[in-house]
Amino acid sequence: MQRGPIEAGLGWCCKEDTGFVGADAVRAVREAGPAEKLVAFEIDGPGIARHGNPIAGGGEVTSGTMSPSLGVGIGMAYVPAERAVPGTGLEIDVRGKMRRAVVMQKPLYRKGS
Amino acid sequence: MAEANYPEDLLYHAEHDWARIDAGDPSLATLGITWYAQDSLGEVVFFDLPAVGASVSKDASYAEVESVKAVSDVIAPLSGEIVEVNQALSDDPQKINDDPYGEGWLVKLRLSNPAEREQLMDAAAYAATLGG
Repeated sequence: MQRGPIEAGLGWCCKEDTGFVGADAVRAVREAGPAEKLVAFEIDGPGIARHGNPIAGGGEVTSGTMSPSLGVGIGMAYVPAERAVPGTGLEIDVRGKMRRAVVMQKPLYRKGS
Repeated sequence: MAEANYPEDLLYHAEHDWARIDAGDPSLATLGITWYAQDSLGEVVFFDLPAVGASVSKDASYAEVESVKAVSDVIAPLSGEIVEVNQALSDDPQKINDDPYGEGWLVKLRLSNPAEREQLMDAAAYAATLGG
């Protein structure tokens, strides 16, 4: 799966009109809409997803760890665009065990929360 | 505990696991990870308890312990059946760091081959493998 700045949510810092290398590819994705989006998630229950863990139905975890502040496993993942809405449930394959997770609004942590 | 420590009454496996054979029952052993293992991992944030009744094989992974940065397999120093797991670790896995030979024990095993203990190291031999 090819992923570019639009998938990563970084379209705001790409100006295709400047003709940078790859501008045509970015423009095509921006116009058609990305197949995948980068989202933040929290694990619902025990477990910690890690980089590379696949997601049922497509996509993968790009990074994951235990959040000391939130007390749960958190991470970032690419998921199919239609499943990128906060509140969407995910199932992540964490080394053979399916762990439930929920797509969350970013940022995951706000001071004092 | 902050200082390296390898009690004399334990048996050690090269993968940084210890076994304590029960004084009154030579086919019962308590398992855990060594001071070196917990120090290398850093702060333990999750221990996924294995199931009571599961069988474990010497030199094979029987559980996973996760620190903030990494996941690590826990290798069984002896073979047998898990008869008890340390439930306290599900709420407080940091006991593995604080007291790896005491409250941080992982599981108790009913040994299927108690003679395997002959293949484990004593504290001095294990400490020597760590290269000081």
